[in-house]
Amino acid sequence: MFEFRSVSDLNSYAGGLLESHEVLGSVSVSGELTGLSINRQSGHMYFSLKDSRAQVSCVMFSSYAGRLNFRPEDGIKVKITGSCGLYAPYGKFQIKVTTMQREGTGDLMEQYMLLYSRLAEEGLFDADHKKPIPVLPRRIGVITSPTGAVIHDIINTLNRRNPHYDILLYPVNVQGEKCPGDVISGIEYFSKSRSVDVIIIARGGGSLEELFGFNDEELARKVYACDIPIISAVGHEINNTLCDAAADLRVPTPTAAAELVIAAYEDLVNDIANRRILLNMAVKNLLSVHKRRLDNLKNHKALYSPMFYVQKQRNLLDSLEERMLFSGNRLVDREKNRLINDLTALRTGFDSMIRSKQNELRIYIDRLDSLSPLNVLKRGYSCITRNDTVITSVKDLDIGQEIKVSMADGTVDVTVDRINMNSEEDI
Amino acid sequence: MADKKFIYEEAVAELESIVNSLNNGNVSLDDSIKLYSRGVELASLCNDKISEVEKKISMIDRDTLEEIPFEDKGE
Repeated sequence: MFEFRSVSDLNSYAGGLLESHEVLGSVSVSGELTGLSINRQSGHMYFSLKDSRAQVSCVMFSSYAGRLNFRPEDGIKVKITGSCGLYAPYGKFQIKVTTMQREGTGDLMEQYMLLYSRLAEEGLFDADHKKPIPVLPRRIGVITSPTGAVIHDIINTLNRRNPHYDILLYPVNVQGEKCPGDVISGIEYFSKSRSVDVIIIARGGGSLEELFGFNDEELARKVYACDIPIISAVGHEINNTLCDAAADLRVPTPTAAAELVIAAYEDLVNDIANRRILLNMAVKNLLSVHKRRLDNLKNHKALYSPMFYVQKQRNLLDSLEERMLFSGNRLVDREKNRLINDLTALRTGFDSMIRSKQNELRIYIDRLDSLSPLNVLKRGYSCITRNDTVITSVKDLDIGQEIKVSMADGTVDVTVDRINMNSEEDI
Repeated sequence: MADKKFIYEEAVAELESIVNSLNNGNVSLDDSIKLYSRGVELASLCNDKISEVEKKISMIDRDTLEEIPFEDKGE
């Protein structure tokens, strides 16, 4: 038996053996790349290669890694060459990789991609199926491990942002074979008990294998079918699980889930306060609109002078009356004028008739006058009578007879002295 | 589950629509007073709801499906 002075000596010896071994000193092997991390400062790559039963740690120093013509990532299948050795500080068997070639996608990744596209085609990840997350959940269901950072981060975040919360934790294994069944039973429990308004499914980041429970097909279907809105916070930004894709909201971290599951208390209070201010402003504006309308009405003549309308109507009446009278007067005037005309015509006719009758009468009178014997006597003629008989011939007289001579202004009694007969020629 | 009588989101949406209606100006004085009263009522209900929930953390006992208090032990 060889006695080593120290663990360092032992590891150093074993490492040397491996490196100088004719087979292990220079190997080539294919496997799925997993657990990749790159040291930002040094640029060295650390990862494991695995198949379904085993895995081996690998390191690829930056001088070799810098020569890669593709971006290595978890899940891809690669073929590497290098030398086996022992990482002394941890006594860890590892391969120092010098070259790496891509060999198509890894099995797990391939499975995931196939399932993803099949479920996507079915509509499990459709945006229009996603339910809104309530603003103010009364109770929050959380499906995660009861130990570890995740539930702690969620509680811390809630304490900081909004202490008015009520959490119901459904404890599950977030890794390993039991994981999908556990999470499914959690979703079923909350769906059945209706005890929460929203569910958070959360897990910290991990490798594709560690998260693989959340790529379970049945789990994805349960998440999709759940009536209660689900926020999925499985893994970190770079990982996207089927659980994330089927959830109503996917967030990168459990902290982000806690931030989105309930609004910050202050924000809620401010929101309602602002809405009250808006409400008051709106009603004030509306009242001032009504007030303006009222003022306009109050300033209207009809209101500050109630007789305005009466006066207006009266004026209207007056003008109507005037117009009626005017037209009435015109009617009466016309009639009157016609009457006057008629009367005038009548009078004129009557007058002229009287005048003509008077003239006629005067003519008759004149004629009568001219026939009166008195008038003849006035002109110097005399009338001789005897015994009241008018003597018109000398033959009717005898000498000595007494006769009466009538003149215009009196009579004379005379006696006939001589009779002188006119000759025939004189008559 | 939230009780059916009062759903916060619906209350906020109603409050918002009340503010919109009032801003619209085509509301009678009577209606505006009714709307305003309803708005004030909703705002105060919302305010009550925001603080209503008491901080509580429970866990399901997977064997009994009973709710038991949960103590956060940190990381």
